[in-house]
Formats: sequence, structure tokens, C-alpha cells
Amino acid sequence: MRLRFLSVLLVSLPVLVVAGGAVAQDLEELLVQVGEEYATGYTAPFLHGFGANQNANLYSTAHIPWNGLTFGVGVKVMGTHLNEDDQTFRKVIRNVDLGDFDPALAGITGDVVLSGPTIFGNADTPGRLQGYVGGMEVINQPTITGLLDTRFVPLVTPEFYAGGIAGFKAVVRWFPEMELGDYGKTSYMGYGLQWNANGVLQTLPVNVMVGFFSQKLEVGTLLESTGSSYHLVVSKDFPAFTAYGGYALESSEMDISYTEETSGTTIAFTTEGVQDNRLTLGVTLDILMKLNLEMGHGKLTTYSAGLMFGF
Amino acid sequence: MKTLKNNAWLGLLALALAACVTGCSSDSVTPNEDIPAVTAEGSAGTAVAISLAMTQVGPYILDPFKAVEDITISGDDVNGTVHIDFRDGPDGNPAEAGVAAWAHLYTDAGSPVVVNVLEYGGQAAFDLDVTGSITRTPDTVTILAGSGGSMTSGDRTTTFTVDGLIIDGGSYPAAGTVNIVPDDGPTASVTFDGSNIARAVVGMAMYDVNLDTGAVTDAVVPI
Repeated sequence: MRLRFLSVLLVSLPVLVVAGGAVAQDLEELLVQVGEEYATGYTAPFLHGFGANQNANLYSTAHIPWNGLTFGVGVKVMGTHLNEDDQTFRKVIRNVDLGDFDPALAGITGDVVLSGPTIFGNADTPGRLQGYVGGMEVINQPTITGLLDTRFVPLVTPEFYAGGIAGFKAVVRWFPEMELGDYGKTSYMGYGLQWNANGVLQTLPVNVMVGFFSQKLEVGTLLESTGSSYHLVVSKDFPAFTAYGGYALESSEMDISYTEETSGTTIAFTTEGVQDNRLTLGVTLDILMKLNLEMGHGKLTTYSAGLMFGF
Repeated sequence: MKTLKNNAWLGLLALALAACVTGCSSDSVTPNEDIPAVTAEGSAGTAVAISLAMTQVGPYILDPFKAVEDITISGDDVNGTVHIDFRDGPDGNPAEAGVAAWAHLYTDAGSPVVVNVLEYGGQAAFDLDVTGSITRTPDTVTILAGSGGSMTSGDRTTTFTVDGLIIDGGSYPAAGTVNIVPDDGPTASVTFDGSNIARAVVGMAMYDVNLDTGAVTDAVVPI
């Protein structure tokens, strides 16, 4: 059973990476059709939701042995649940030369309204670029459609851990660098350290752990995402399951870079994730394998599950 | 005793999970900004558009060669279909176009008249519902109170009423006022005097609107 799970995991990882790369390629094909102002609005739920995903499901218990090895390998699945308003966006640029958007209107000052589905909006309906002068619409151009019509920002990541010496445990999220055709290299590396305090504070009624995690994901030349988390976790063991909760201070940042196809201009921008802390509640079922389910809530709410093989 | 403690933990956990699942929604992280409100000058510009529409469409009531019940207008500046119901008086009997004393000009819902209002390609769609009293020799239409319509340009809609507007076959309305209520800007009223320059009043500001070019300039008021 456990060997089969490991085999499935190892076979699935390249598939997941390629699938993720394909989605990113679709994203780039859309983004190259629009400028930076549009792209920042269009990608906003992805930029913020992805960071929240990265910092999710970093632990499933506060228990770490002080004198006994522990080891695990598995996969984590996260989904940040977007606010319903995040499937569309509207961004206004005031008092600009409309010639920047329609050469026929060079020298005319007006307002530009960029609107439509975000990356997680309707994949059939294009957005719009509208220009207004004196209350009248003078530009109306179709833009790009959404990519995935969903309110969940998804992420799947493999995870490994080893520890059990003096209450320490190292956690790694990693997959090997992969070449995705013309698209470029994709790589992912995250690492963290956790320490259980019960070896020192032996009278505590619950397990207590502190830890940090830092990670970086690169997808071709299109995006680079970093995240970090510092967390305090408590857990309580029950027969067959463990309940846990944690509080984390966290940050994330994503860089987007692409070349706009009409102008040949290189577009590059950085967005800091909106989430800076979260409260997490979860349970871990320990039946043959460890299945944990948790919800993390800060400015964004992230649901996640993990399936780990180990001891 | 241990069972009691465990139950307490489980109850606490269930309570916390229930509270979070039911009450934890994400903040919005996507810009959803309002369309810029129309400025006073913008309202004056809207007035230009509505004035142009009335100037373009109104004369169809008077022209006996054009004044049939369904008029499809296809030109450089105006496109669409309007209907004109000619009567011998207000709510009177149907009458021939050339001798009617009253007319009701309107557009079908969802089939607006589209007017080019700016030389750089601005367009507005008009839904019209206008009644006019017609006098003869010279042929003149006085647009009656209660007439009006709505203008949509992009995501903006402006309603307007027309009161006492006189169309006499000249290039511009001879007299009267159009009152304009944008959905997100200041109201404006535009007064016509038969020339190509109409006077728009928006709050305390006054503008001259050129009905030929669509230009809006600060009004020059003699001291």
C-alpha cells in the first residue's frame, strides 16, 4: 500500500509540473496581449492567492520526537477560496494620453477603464478597454478572456520531512528542475525547520512547536514566486487523529515578466501578497497514512489537504 | 475524567471549525474601481451629444418626404430606426405626415439610434420618446414637456428631458432647453437659440457647446 502510494506520487509529480507549466503557458499567451496596467488587475487574485497557498499546510502536528527518527514523504493540495468579487476586475487610469491605447487619439486626454474577467473569471467572455472623453466613450476594444473559471486558486506540491533529534524536524518542498519545451525551466524549492518545545516544557498539556519555512517557485521566464512563514503551532493527540492549530506571520511576493506582442515592450512587475498572518485549524487522521485537512484564515481563506507516508 | 477532557477538546475543535467554515471568507484582492464620475465639462459634453441627436433626428418629423412611420436613418453621423406616429392632435386621429398637428417619435426597446458625437469616434446610443406639437407655415415642431429619453455611451447612461425645444427645419434648434441627468455626474441644462452655439449650465459653470464640432469651451459672458 505504502509503496504503491510512493510510486503514484513519483509518477504524478512530473505530470503535475507539466500540467502547471501548460497552464502557465496559456497564461503567458494571454498576458502578451495586454499591457502592465491590465495585467496587474487581471492577475491580482492569482498573485495574492498563490502566495497564500504556498504558505499553507506547512505542518500537520506540533509533535516532533526528541529521541526517535521521524520521516515522511507525500503531497499537499491547497486551494485559496477567492472572494466572489475577484472573478472580475475594473481598473481606472485617469487623465492619460489616449494615444497610448489608440494611436488615432494621440494628444487627446481622457480616462481609460480596463475591465473584464480576471484570470479566474469567465473563460469565454473577453474583457474590455474603454476610453472616455468628456463622459463619452471613444475607445472600446476587446481584450482577453479568463483562464480558469473558478473561485479556488489551486496548488499541488510534494513535501518531504525528516527529524526527531532534540525536537527538530526539517521540511522540504521540492521538485527537480524541468525543461518545458520552448517555455523554459521550471523549478521549485522550499525548506523549513521546526522545533518541538515539549522536551523542555514537559508539563504542557499540548504539544507546542515553532518553525519557519521559505520557498521559491520559478516557472519559465514568466513568473517567480517566493513565500515565507514563521509559525507557532499547538496540537493534541487523540486516538486515531490529531487536532492542531497554529498562528503564522507570513509574506509572499510574485514577479511577473513577459513581452507584450504588439509593442515588443518587456513588461515586468512585482506584487506583494496581501496576506501577512493567518490562523490555522486542522485535523490529521493517522490510519495507514497521515491525511490532514486544514483551513487557514487571514485576509484570505485557504483550504488544504495533505497525504503523507511516513512514521 | 480523561474522557471528559477529550470531549471538551473535541467540542472546542468542532466549535472552532464550524465558526471558521461558516464565517471565514476571503477579502477581495482585485481592483474594482468605479468608473470616473462625469465632470461638469463632461456633462456639457454629454449635452452636446444629446443636442446633436435631437438636431439630427427631430427634423424627420417635419420632412414630408422622410416622415413615414418607420424611418431607417443611415448616415455618417446617425444610424438607426425611429418610428413616428402622426396624429391630427394630441392623442387624436391618425394623420398624414404633411398635415399632422402632433407626432410621437420613438425608438424600439433595444434598438437605439446611434449617433457619432465626436470627430474622434465617440458614439452614443439613444432611446427616444418624444412628442411634438406641429404648426404649419412655416413648419415648426415644439417638443412637448414629458419628452426625453436616455443616452448610453460605454457603461454610462444619461437620462434627459426636453422641454420647449423648437425645431423649425433650420440646422439647429431655434429655442428651448434640454435637461440632462447623468447617472454619475452633475446635471446640466442646455439652451438653444438657433445658432450653432448652445449654452450649457452645469452647477455654477457655464459652457458654450459647438454643435458643429462638439467642442466644449468656457462660456464667454458679456460683462
